[in-house]
Amino acid sequence: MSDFALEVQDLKVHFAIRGGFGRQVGAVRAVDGVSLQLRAGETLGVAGESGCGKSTLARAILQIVPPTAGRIVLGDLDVTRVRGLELGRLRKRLQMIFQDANDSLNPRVKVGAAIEEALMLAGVPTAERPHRVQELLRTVGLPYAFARRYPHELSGGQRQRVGIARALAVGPELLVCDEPVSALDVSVRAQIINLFQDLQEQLGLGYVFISHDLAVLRQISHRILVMYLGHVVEEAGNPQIYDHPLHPYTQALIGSVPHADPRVNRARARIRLQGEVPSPSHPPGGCPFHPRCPLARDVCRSEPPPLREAAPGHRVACHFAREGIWMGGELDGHGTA
Amino acid sequence: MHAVQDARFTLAAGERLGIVGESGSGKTITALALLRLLLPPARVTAGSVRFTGRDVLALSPQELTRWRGGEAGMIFQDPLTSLNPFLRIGLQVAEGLEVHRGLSRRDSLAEAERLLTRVQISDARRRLTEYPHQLSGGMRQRVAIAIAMATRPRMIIADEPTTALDVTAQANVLELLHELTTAEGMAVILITHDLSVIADFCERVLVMYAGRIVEQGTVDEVITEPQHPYTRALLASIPRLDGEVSRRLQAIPGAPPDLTRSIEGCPFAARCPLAFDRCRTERPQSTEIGPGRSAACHLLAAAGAEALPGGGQE
Repeated sequence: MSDFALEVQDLKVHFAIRGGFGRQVGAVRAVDGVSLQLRAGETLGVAGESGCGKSTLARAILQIVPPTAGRIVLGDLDVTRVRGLELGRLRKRLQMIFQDANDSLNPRVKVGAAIEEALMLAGVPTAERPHRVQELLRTVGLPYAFARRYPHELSGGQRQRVGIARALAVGPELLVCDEPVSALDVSVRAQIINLFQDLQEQLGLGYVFISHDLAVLRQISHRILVMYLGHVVEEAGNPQIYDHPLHPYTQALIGSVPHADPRVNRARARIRLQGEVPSPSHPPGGCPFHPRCPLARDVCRSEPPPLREAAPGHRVACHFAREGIWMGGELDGHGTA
Repeated sequence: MHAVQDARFTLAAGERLGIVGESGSGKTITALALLRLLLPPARVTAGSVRFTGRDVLALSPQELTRWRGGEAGMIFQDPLTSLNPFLRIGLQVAEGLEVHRGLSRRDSLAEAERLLTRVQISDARRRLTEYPHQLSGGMRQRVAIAIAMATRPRMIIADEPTTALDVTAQANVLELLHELTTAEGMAVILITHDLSVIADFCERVLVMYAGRIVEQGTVDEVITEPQHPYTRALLASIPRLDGEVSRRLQAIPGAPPDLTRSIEGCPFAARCPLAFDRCRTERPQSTEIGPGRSAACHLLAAAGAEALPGGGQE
């Protein structure tokens, strides 16, 4: 039995690239050796840009895509060994929330019936289901009348609430949320973020919360993991990672985000990260970030830096990790005045 | 359905103006109407658009084409929809140069190469022969900037130009747009749902809600001293990267109104913590509270300021 609600050990997810006659000619290393731990009732934020492997990581945790190597342990259950009927047991403990709940809701099934279906899978007796539907809708802040609506009759925020209600129907301990508020309007986004936080408090839920939005992650996460090209490059508590980021990529990410205050924007350090993320089918040797890194030396091109503990609870994968790497030289301020 | 009502604003030469609003607020419709790019059944039912003294709504189709290509550039959210997937990049940049600046094919391709270099696309000569799908999202958006700037317009309208991009690419595109338009003295209208992007890029801002401009002013004024309850609520609801993290965000209850139904009174009344009887029956007029600074809220009018009289656009 692990100390953690969820533990992922050296997870790899590679997708084969096939040429003629089905011969494998290469592999996309979407996730390439990721380890993480999540304590019960906590939120682990996963940050990174498109193509960093964060969505593949989510899908692998739920066994939607098969891992190539590594272990995923949910409490006392080795997820990677789960087969067949046991997958149902896994789904009761682990549920996924998508960016748009439309992806998981059948357009021809009313909200109430969709939640009842999940209750049936969870083994709730028929007679109890309508009552449970009402309870679940109330939990996510929707009136019972919504049970009779179709998904297309709902706004984006309401659909996301239904998606959450349906995930909760099976009584999970952990939700893996993939960009769950990215498609929502600003004024509704805050409502859903608050709902996630309320549910965590009430039900003791753990979240793996994936987002490209560092401000959203700052609001909701206990710990944050930064991914780049299938690797974890830095992991630390919140706000430690914002106040003292050690990896040049983390610093570039934080330095790229505009603030909602023009005075802060005029004063803040701007970092302009050059070049593009390399293809995960041809990752660079050594450190995956070295082609875009201002610190890169020979060792970075040949030796992948291990994820090492730089401070208690703060891990970083960089040969030359330190604060303020981009200060001087690469610093760039256009100012708005 | 009234997608936009009583939008009244000016854009100075070389100014960077932001229009911020949520989906359905009318920010894109406003921009399309300025360029007369609305598709039926949408149409401008009232009002005027004046651009350096010319009445845009009165231009003939030929004049309009010349005006749009020569004076106003447009950048969209996803350049994959505005770029032709079957045409090489070079031809797409060169096209506007041939039509609007009368260059030969050869000269226009040379100019296209220079433009691509200016938008920091490395190896520009080779890129001229590539197709849009061969470029990354950030590079495609830089090509779109090159196309919009090719005819040296006085104004560029950028509709969510960085929404589809990663934060690092967003920072690069915004900085590039800032540098180039400043160097050329071009005005920019930047449309976005992201107030942080406005706070970073723009000098002035219009806040739109349910088809109306509810507040306008300089970015500093509007963000540090918001006057309309919607602007205030919007600012309070944003997760922030600076300052203390409060345990709960101050969410705005409810959702924006359905514009297919007519709205009596103030469109924000149903979600406004300060709404009183008058807000539900009478629509608040825009109240001038300083030079170029106004908000449409009964509380301001009640505070003694005069309702803004009619005026034209520039």
